[in-house]
Amino acid sequence: MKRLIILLLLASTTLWAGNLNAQTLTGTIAGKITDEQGGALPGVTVTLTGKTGSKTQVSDTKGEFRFLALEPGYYAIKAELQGFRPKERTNLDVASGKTIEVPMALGVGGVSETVDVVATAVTIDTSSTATDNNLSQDLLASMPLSHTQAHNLLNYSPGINGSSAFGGASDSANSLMLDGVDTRDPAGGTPWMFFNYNLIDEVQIGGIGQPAEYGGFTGAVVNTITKSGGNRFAFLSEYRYTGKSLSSDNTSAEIKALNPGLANPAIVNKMNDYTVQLGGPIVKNKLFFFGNIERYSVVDDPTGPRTIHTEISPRFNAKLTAQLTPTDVVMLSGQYDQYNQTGRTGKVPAQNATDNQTRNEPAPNAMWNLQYRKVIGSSAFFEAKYTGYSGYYDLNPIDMSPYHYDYKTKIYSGGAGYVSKHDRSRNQVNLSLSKYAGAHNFKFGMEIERSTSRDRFEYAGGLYFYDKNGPYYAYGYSYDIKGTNKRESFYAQDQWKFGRATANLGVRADRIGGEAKGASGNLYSTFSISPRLGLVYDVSGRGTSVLRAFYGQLYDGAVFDSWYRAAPGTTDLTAWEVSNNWKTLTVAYVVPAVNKYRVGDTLKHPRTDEFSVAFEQQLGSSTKFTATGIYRSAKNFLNSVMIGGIWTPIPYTAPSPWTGPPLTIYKWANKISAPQYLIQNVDTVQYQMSGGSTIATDQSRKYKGLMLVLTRSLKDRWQAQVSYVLSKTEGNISNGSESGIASSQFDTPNGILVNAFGAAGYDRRHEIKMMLGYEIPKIEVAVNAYYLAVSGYNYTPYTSVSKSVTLYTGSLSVLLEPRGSRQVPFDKELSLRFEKVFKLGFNKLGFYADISNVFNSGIVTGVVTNVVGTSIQGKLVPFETPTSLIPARQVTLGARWSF
Amino acid sequence: MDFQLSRWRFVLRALVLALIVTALPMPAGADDASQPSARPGLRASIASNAKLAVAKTPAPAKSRAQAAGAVNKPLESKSFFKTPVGLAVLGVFVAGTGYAIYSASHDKIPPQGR
Repeated sequence: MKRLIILLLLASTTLWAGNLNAQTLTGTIAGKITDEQGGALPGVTVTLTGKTGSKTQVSDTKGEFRFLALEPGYYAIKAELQGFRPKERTNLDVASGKTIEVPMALGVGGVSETVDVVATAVTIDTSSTATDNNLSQDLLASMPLSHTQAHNLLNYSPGINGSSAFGGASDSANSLMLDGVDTRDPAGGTPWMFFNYNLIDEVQIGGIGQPAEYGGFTGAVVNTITKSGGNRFAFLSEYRYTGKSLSSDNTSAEIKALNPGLANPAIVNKMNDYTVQLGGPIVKNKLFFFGNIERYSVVDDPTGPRTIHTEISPRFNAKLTAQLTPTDVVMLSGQYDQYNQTGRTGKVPAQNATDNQTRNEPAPNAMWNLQYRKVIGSSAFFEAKYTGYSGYYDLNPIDMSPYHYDYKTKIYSGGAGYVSKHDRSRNQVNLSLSKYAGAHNFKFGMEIERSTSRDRFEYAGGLYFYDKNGPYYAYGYSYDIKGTNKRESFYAQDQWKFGRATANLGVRADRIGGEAKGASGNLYSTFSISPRLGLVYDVSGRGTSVLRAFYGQLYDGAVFDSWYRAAPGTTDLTAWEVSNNWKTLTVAYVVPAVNKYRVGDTLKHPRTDEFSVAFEQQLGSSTKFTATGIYRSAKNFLNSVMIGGIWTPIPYTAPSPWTGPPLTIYKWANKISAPQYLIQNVDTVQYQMSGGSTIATDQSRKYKGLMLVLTRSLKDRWQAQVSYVLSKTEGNISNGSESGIASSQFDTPNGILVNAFGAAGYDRRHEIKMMLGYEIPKIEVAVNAYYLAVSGYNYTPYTSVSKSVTLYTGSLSVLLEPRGSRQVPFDKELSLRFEKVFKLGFNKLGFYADISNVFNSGIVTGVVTNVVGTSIQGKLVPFETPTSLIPARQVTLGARWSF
Repeated sequence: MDFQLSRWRFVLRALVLALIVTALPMPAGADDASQPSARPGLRASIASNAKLAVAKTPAPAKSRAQAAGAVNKPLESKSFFKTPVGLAVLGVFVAGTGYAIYSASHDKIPPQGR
């Protein structure tokens, strides 16, 4: 803690000395005031009015003004000078991290006031290389998007599916920021904070061409800005309901007959979700409050033998904003939520588990956020943020008896199998400062993160049974491991304007360390420097047409999972021979856990290089078109490799009904009882063969994409965003969550030398996304549609090779065709919202119906990929039988009262 | 039989919901009409442009109405909560908060072995 404080103090001193800054939560309005002949007008009083009050500046000798650190929202700006007609512009929609340029020409006139109101129009950023997509509050409130988990909203953005963004690993490669600070699970980088979508002021979803202030991602950056109170009381009350009578069944009789796991389709029996929200002034222009309370509850009947799964999640959010002086703002906010679930499955697969084989999950979490912003004159802006959370989730079987798996009958019995407890905490400080100096916009900053992850695991009853028509073997082990991520990051950046061009020059440094309880020093240590270089060119010179080019190196965030296997705390694995009707256990062997894994000395953090080129064209006042070409190449993969392993190539013929040609697989030639593994960068790995030769393999995952987006803001009663993405992601490391950092793919050559190269699991070749909104005249009913058409997931036939063939410690999965050789069907889904809004004074009353999967399509999203089939509820389900479908049609009714 | 029952429950629930939500804002319209109007020039100008610019779908809290120049004076004063609409707002907010607090206690799954 002492070292942390010293680091903070040092950082603060450095920042102040260097006039540093960055802004991710706020935007800027800048402009130049001229007379009607274009001459600069100094001394003009410029008044900016927003929801928390007014600010005034006087234009400088060049006629320029700049309002910094503005919270996202709508603003009005008024320019006044004696002898000229005052001019006002309203509806200036400020988004986080964006600058709105407002040129104003004042005409000579008398004292009478003239007001010009300019309608909202699309704007093109002529300075930044970033290609972002913003989901505004208006869009969130009107579109039929899934509102169950707000952190999944990124999947509505072009180029992102299954939380895999632009070829990056699903979930773990994305930076998920809440009010500008990363909130991910420090274990695997997956979402940790669950929050109400009504809390959102704006979601900015990017990833392409990001400046140096954004780090900890190789996929997307999702920056969620939450609402704040203002001078005007604002209220929202919403209730949503769906139930069994509003559910449908989209599983065909044929599929139900083939797969008993899908014979009872998932049904939402009852969902109730309400939000109440109130914000406003405590002291006008000085102190503001905002509160948001939600209670979400659902009771459903999942697929398979389970009959009930429930979730009850009350969530409380509060925020205080204090405008201490015209230039100082302090914000304090917090969230407390519970995530109470029953009916979660454990060791027994979901399509086999009965109600008795499920677990309860208590998962409370508290989050805090303290921020301070200071505007220094009209050219500098400092921001400090401290945020963190503390929470856990437990998975407790309702039946604590050991679970049994019978190898002969493939039947599961007993309870859910294991107990696990997962504690997480995060503390993070971000400091930033920016300085406008002539043609330069400097940004500098630093981040300090300390996040912890503790996982505890043990089998219910201390072991599980592996039967063979009766007692056979039992196995047991447990662990209690705790790790701490320690990250310090620094960045420096400049947007340098010269003529019509703007150079984006930046560099970022990340030091990431990992300490584990029971181990001395850093088990994991990397230092990375990532340059970001971009150029933006204003083709037309009027801000209506820009070209962007970018090169940058992106690094993943700090996660425990990439090295957790080297952390102490795991017990030996004991195997027992079982006899006497499961009553007698005799120790057969023990696999010691000590030093099984260790981390290499010289590591490089997982990285992706990005090249992107974009062209953006404004089409009229309300429409713009963007074309972006993206190339990404992943490297610095991390994984474990067996130390000193020697392998013998052997021919292998996969079992019937597979009819493909024989493969070469690899048998362990120098088998020992306790192999050891090294966690290292695996970009190039050499495997020793039994004849003295070696086989080398070079790893890659590359993404090539073309993204076309047409955006039309609301005009003449309709708005739209239509996108098409053509992309290809291929390599010999897939892009599932943690694929490139923590799988066992390299433990033997069989995971990487046999059919490993091909299309990644989340390679979705064609993707069309459409958001369309139209208000029907006369009846004043809004119809909003979301349409998705995307290539199906890739899959690869595989077989499980017995340890008697490979002599390895367990059975191994071997791909029988090149990775991603087959695809499930094209996914096409249409969702609609019909909404009738009544306006009564300042009150708005909305009644809506959401219909997801309007045509109740039964599109298959997963199939059995084991060529000998898999056992579900004791029945052998053959290769390529469907195992999952898109959710069936569901109607959700809602009502909303707001002002 | 179950299907019939759940459908009736649903219809009943929808009716109650509709009654609650529609009943609450009834005084709101009357209250708003009694408020002093903004300067005609500004208001008229905004209104004419709003036809083009303002979303027809509801924008719950951050709306163009919140932008400067389009403020609702009654919503800037604490006396708003003494009006029927203000009292209804407080009632809904307190009821929603209260039930969520009750749920956080009542529905909580107790931790085991912590």
